[in-house]
Amino acid sequence: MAAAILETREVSKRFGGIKALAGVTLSLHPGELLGLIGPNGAGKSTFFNVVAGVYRADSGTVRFRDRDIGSLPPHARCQLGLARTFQLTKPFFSLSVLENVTLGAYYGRKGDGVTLADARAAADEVLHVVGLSAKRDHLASTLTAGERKRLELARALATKPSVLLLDEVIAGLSSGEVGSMMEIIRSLPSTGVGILMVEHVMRAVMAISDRIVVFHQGRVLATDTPAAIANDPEVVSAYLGSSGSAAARSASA
Amino acid sequence: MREAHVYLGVAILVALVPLVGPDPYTVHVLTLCLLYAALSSSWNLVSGYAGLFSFGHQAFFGLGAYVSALLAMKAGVAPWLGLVIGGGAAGAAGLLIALPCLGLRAPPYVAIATLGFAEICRFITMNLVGLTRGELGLGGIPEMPAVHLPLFGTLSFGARGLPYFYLILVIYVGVMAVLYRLVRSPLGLALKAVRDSQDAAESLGVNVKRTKLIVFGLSSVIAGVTGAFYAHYVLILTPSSVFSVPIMVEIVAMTLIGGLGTFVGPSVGAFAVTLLLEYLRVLGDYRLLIYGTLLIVLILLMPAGVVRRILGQRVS
Repeated sequence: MAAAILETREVSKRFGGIKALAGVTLSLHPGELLGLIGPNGAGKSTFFNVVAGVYRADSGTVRFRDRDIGSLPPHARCQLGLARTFQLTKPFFSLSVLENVTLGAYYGRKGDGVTLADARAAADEVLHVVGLSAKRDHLASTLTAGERKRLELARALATKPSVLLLDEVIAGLSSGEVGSMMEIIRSLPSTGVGILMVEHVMRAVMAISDRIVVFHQGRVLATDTPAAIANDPEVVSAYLGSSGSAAARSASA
Repeated sequence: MREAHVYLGVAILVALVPLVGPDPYTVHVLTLCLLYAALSSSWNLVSGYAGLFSFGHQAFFGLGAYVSALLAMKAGVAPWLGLVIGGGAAGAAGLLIALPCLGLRAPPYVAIATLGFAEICRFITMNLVGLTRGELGLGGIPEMPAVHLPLFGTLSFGARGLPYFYLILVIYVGVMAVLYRLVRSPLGLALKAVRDSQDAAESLGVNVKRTKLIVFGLSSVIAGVTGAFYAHYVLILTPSSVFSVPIMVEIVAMTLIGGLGTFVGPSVGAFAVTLLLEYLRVLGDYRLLIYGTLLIVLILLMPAGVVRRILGQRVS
């Protein structure tokens, strides 16, 4: 397999007396879709925020393209090619959909000599990819919850990332929207982008991930293919607190 | 660019006003209108576009005024240079106060920090009696020196003369030209993004701290230049005339009435409020009562401002 594009080693983070991350080591490769699952409070969001630069790890390293990025602020990580979406969508309400995405296309590629006109053209392309072209000139505040999730994805994609962190872009969508969002996400790795996605909708994450990482109490409990994870008794008990096959059944359903 | 032409046309029309009826009182009122329009527009940049609710803008106005006045009086510095140095001093102060505000994400904290800074400026000016004469005020501030212009001949400013009107008009048009370009530039897009969600802006590559520093600095420079102009126009300064909260309240009222976060809103509001306050003088003691009532009614009827009421909610 090609060299990892994103690599964390023994990343730990505590908030007061709570150990949110207790030494997380994982790697993501170009073109790989890595699903991150785990019960609530397992440390998935904290891990995302450490990788994106919102929090600094107490110990351990975060390497992106063989470079230690542990001390860089979020905007600098984005400009290097590490983009993220937010679980609770954060659209720029007073801007149009196009302007929302243009911002990412311009500032996310600040070093590339992109002009505002280039950024607008790139934003239009991305809107087409996520199926928001028809809403191009609408204010972001008028979008539905599902459209806001797609806008989150579009803005992140517009920064031309080589690593994309997706924080529950499927959870909360209507059943019709789930299918099209899965299709969009599944089409992305062919461009070489590595995707790390946190997702609660098991059916979706199991179906499109190449590998699954299971978090439990701030640690990596297991890393394997979706099929193997679904039948891992340790994973099942982490979710249900006892040995049973309910989780495995719902995961493969 | 058609929009820009409209603005330019309006500016030219305003420039012609004194030729129609050069009544000194009207020219004085219009001078004040333009001064407040520039000042409110500079506050709107920080509070309306970037969403940093500063409540201490009077500090930069007052600093520009006192720096330029004192330099002219104590060191014989030409008021022309005073406009520049006053603006620069205010800009430096703006950067200084912006630094601790960078980490404050909730608007009320920024408001309190900036208000505190303005009050500190006021108290220092009041208590540096040896330099500023405290609340007795600075009198005898030099007027703007005469200038020789190729087409117009010699312009001597005199006491509140017509040239002051043209000078503030030039300052105002310059300020608006800078703001016009800025609002439409990538930086303008970043400002509005920071206003709506700092977290999202940061995650998409916007250097939020740098963006805030730039607009705070620029906005303070503009306030400082208008302050310096004010000093050499009214020729008398007291700490409470330039550093006090009522000035801030007027800036807020003007901007809200015109339209927070709109390009022309603060100018429209500045003209409306200044004209209203001047021409309500006939009401004597009832003036402020009527003015206050009108403000409340206007804000209730048009919470998003006059400009959005006329041009639509999406104008910015």
